[in-house]
Amino acid sequence: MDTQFKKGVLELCVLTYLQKKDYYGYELVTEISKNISISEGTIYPLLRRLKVDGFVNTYLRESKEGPPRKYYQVTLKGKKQSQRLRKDWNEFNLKVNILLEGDLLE
Amino acid sequence: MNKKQFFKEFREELKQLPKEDFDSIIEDFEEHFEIGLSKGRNEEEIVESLGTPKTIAKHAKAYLLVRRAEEKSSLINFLRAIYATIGLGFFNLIFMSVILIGLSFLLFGFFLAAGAIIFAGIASIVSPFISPYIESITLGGINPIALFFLGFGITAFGLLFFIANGYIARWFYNIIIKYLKMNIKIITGELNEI
Repeated sequence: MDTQFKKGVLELCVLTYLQKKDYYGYELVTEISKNISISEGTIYPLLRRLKVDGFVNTYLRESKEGPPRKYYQVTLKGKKQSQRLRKDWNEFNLKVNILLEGDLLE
Repeated sequence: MNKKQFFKEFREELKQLPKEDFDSIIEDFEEHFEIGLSKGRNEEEIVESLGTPKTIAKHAKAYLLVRRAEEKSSLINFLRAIYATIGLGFFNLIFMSVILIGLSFLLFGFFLAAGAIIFAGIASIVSPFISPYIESITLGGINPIALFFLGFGITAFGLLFFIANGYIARWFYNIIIKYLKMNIKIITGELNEI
């Protein structure tokens, strides 16, 4: 898959995951890379940008196995962004499907 | 590649980033290694799945440096840039001076007219009394009593016009002050909150 394309989708994936629960970085990265083959490291810069843009918040929480971990939490703004991206994604998907089906008919 | 090599390369690639972003990202990766190692993975495995420092840094720069550029193009910064580059402050000064001088003359004219009307009124009041004694002053066939009272009307009108001019002048002054304050705010950046 084209990397530029993946990058846009990645934002939607991250925001979608974070609407289920708060994740810490490592957990979120391994969860996403289970489903999308991507360089795991690229998720951290994305998380940083999402934070700067106000789509996510971070907080520290103690863990049983060591130092406190940085957790990510989606904000209201982030939820709205997620809806927007989801709408874009669905529209895009629909158009591609129509195109593919049209191709099959010919 | 082990953790140490990874960070050495990574720091080198990221050094363009603002310090805040740089520190935050380095911290994230340190935490990532820490947790990965505690889950029994070795350094090489973790580096392998993270991707090369170059790739990650490329993403980081694309996300974070583009954002800074966007931030800088806010409207106020744009206005300030115009002020700075073509000297709109100076342009404004000339432009405003022309308007200012024009309006000042207009106001001066109004005051002069008010004065003239008042003078005419007073003349109308006085002329019925002095015309019998001075030959050059004639009443033009108008009833002297009517002229006398008309003089009061004209004088009152002139006074009202004069007072109205006072209000216009004050209003005009306030507008100029507001305009100047707005200019100063734009130049000093106090409009950032808007």
